[in-house]
Amino acid sequence: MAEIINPVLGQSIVAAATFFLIPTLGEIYTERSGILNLGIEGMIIASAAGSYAITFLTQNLWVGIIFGIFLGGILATIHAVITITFNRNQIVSGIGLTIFGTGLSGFLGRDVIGKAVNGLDKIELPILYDLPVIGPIFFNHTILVYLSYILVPVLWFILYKTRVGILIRTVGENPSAAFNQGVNVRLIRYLCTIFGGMCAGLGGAYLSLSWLNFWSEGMTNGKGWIVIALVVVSLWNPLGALFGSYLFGSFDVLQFSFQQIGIDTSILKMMPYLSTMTFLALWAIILSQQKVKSIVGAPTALATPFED
Amino acid sequence: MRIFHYEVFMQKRVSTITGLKAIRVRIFALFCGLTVIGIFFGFLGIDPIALYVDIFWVNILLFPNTLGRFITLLLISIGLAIPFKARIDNIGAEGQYVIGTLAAFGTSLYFSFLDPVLLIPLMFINGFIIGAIWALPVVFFRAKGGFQGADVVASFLMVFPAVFLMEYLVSGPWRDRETGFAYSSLIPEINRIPVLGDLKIYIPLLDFHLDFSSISFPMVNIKELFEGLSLGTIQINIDTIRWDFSPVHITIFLAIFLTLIAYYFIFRYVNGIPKTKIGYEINVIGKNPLAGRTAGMSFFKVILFCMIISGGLAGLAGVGEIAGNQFRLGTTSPGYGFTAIAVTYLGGLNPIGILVSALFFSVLSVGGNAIKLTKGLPGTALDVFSGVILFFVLLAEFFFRYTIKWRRV
Amino acid sequence: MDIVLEMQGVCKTFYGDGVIVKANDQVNFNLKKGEIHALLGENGAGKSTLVGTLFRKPDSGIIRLNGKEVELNDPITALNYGLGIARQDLTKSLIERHTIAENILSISKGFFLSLTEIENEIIKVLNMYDLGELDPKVRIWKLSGGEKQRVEILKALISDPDILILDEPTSMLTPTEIDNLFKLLNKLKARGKSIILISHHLEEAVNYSDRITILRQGKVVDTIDTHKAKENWKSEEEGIRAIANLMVGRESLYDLYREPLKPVNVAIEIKGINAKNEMGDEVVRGVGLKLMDNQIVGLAGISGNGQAELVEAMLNLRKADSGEVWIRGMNITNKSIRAIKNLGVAYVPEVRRKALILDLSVRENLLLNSYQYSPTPMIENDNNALITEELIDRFNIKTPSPLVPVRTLSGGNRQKVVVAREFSVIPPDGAGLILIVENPTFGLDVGTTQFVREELLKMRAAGAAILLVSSDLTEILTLSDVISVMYKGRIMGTVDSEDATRENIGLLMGGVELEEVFS
Repeated sequence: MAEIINPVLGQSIVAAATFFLIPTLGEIYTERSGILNLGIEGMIIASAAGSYAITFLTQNLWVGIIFGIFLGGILATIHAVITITFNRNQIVSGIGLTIFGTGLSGFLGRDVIGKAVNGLDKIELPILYDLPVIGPIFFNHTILVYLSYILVPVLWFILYKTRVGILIRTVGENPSAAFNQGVNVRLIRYLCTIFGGMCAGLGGAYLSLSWLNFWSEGMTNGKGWIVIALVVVSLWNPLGALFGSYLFGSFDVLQFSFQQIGIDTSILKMMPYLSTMTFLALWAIILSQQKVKSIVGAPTALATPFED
Repeated sequence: MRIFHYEVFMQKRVSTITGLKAIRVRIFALFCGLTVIGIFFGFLGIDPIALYVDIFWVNILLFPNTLGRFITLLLISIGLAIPFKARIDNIGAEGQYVIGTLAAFGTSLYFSFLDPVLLIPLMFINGFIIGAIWALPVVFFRAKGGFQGADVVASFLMVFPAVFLMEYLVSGPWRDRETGFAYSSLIPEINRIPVLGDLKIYIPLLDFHLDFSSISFPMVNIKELFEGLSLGTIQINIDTIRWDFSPVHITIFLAIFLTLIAYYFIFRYVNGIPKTKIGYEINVIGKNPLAGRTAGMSFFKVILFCMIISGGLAGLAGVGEIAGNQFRLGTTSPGYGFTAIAVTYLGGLNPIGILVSALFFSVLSVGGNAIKLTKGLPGTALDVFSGVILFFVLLAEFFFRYTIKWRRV
Repeated sequence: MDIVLEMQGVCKTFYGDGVIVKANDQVNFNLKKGEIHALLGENGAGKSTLVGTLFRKPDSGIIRLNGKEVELNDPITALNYGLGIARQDLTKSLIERHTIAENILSISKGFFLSLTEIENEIIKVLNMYDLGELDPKVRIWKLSGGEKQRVEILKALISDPDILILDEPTSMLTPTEIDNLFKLLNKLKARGKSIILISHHLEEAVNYSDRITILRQGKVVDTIDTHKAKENWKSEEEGIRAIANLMVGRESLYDLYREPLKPVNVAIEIKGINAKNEMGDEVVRGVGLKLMDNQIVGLAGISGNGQAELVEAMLNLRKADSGEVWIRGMNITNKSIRAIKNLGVAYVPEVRRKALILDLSVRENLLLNSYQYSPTPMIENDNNALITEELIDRFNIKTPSPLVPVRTLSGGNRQKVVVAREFSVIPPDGAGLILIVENPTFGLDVGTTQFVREELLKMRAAGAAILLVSSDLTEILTLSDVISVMYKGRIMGTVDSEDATRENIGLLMGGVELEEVFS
């Protein structure tokens, strides 16, 4: 336990967790509106490459980050058109998006492999940084990490306490009911999907410009898929995403602590995936209980097309 | 929707398009996809027409390599078509393929005392079994997922442990002692899968000799046709093309045989009924699992069958690739398992269609690889093709049921 | 009186797979201020489609509200014009996981969501219209069918519409609740609201409406002034028969002859079955039933009283918590559904989705039982193809070819496919078939209904033991030898068909004890 309180380790857990947190928040909104976007991995990696390349080109971090968000939104729009306008299979379209995004990342990043860009600087937040233990862990990060702190409560509030939120939830639970009450189902689904894409894009930008600060082909190692699992673990709730991301962030970081005991790195690299699988299996068993299903669980209309 | 003075709207067709018409729509979609990719390359400053012409010529030159790639893609794709038909979205074929390569190499390492006549079949058996085992978690998640897409996520998450296991093995126990690089030693020549070049077929009845090692291709007519159109960038001396069939291992016969078996027993309809009970059950479960359950079918049994076949075939592809083509393990996975998803959908989830689409993607893959250097294409170029084609194949399905019409307002 | 709503020449066409359905063909309809106007017709006559065009514009035709032509393109426009609707299909209208308050979005305004505001409004409206107790904080899945229907009506009322449309509002209500509903409608009428009531219950329409419009196959057959018509009818019976004839277009349901047969062997016996529904509530409580050969046992009850769960527990499609099922002296409790079916049990489920694979061909759907009869893993294609040809012939299934998807068939022919498949199950060793049918004629046109009922009697004569689960009292009374009534998971009583009347069975369905009914 002493290991976890170690500020350096704690800091790196927060840094890793933020990478999972931002796209998870976006995907929660997407899935809450009834659209399953399995293309997270593709959007993250394309945006990671794109924002890094644009930053290198313009030497302006913010242009790069905004490009990353924009690219994520554009890619999500492809998914939206195929699944919402043309009512096609969301799973296959998501897989296509992942493959396409991966391909695109190679093109976007081909000229900047091995080139250095100054990433976002860490900012020590005044007062908060001086808090014992948690100060150095939580308040010595780049601005994107602080943004994620704000996003969680804001997105939770919007989902549960505003009119927009109830509309999104209604559309995801029962699009026909929403339509009959005068809600524009397609518009809401479009907006949520694009918002999810933008969050994934921001996650990609965070990966290459804030957390790891480099670009190499295939650098996500399929971690985008962990995001999909995280949405399940978080029970489609932004607050749950906070819990899930920090849990999986620690799995991601703690593997390096085990290295010291002499376990091979390659074996340790499996850890995040295998622990995700374990959690997923656990959740699958819990969520398949009808009684649980009627209270929490996947939005009822998830991945089912809406034809009015 | 309104575009200038026209109202554009979608209208349901009176009946869904099937058969030849559906193939036509799919080919048109493929054509649109290639056009879009062409435009994409245009933006990157690569002449798309030259690119496609180059891809074509490279494949003519390296046709045996194309066939080598074809074996792998075909085996994986047939393995994917079966679970896809039962609505199990196994997208982790890459992991099952990688684990198959490990099985092949391990078998050759630990069973080296066996005679090759026994060892090579054992490689395939082990590859099939271990590939199938690697696919088993998907069965659990499909049967008891608790949420949509559980099988997709689970199957994908199983890819990375396989890749890291390979990384561990080639950087540790199986590392090539001589070079010290992070790849394994070569499989001894005697334990490799025979290639077509070794094969001499003689059919006594017809007095027919076939010697693959020396097939040469007189391409005079094609040369005349294309000389005036030399848009590509590769200089080709066509007169001296001699195909060397050494990269084509005899797994190709196994692959085609299994394709036909799958077609004959699972996909084929006789009198409007599938030939086997399991083929029928896959059909029913894929279309309406609830009705299948009410009729007394075991959902679990069907998924288990599909995933064993699927993982097993991906494993076989791994064995073929490692013991017939590459002979040593590296640390990265080539992504055939993902390309195969696009192959399967382009083939319309049908073995005969997949035969064609696997060849098509082999052409793209070999062409893309070969001109990577001259055009500066990144390693992921093929993924752009797969992704875009997958999008367009999906959109084509829409037009099986709808048409787009417009009228003046 | 003023005409508030006028629909002129309304047409609506649906494009199915291979079929084009003219659901509304040049329909003219008008609604006067302060009247209850009943829309009558068989299932598929176009009633719901007609009111649907008020929320999603028709293909052609004119809609006038208070004399002004309007274009109602989407539900929100219609709501703003003062139309309120309680829909028939509650699965497409209520969100199970949300609370009642969260289900009612139409009155929430502004950026923030104030549930307490909505909750107060709900309670105000409930009190104003005497709709009974409903806690706005309760989630929908906890409610009974009748309560859900009241929520749906509340949803329509809460925006205070001038025109209220009720689409089959009474299907899940108990007799007392129905009475209350019509009191409420009369109150609304007195306030000058206009009401469209869609129903296929003729009695309701005749008793409570001011005018009746009858639709048949998408066309208006007639519009009757109920009050004037009542003066001309000799009896209510006669009036209902006259309207029924208009709905169906010919002499409706002729009487079926149930020949007297003596049941001998006990085919299936269930003892003390307890089972839970998906939510974990016990909905089948200690049910025992006995089925004999040559006998139809009718299981009556308002739907949702545990009948569906009971049947599933019998067939081991649902886990029974206790109890036993015996078939011809063999204990089959916890045997797999396939093992049970192989003993000669056939099942026609109420939910058609459980019986048909819409995307597969008629032939493949007909094989769902017989495909597994061959001893090898192969299917006997030629033989099976022949069997299906015979079934299509014998049950007169209208299909262009056995190879077209079932989706392209009409509702009646789809049900015939299920009936053909299940009624042709061959029990082992020449024993009689055990047939379990749930609402076999629900939503079918009169011709097919008649056909299915005749086939059931033929099966009975051929020695089958039949359990007929139905919420249609007429069906139960005409077909059954013995009637058991289910209420809240219990069998309220078993009555011989000679002693059964519409009234006493109706009382049992409402939860009155057997001793009180027959005292």
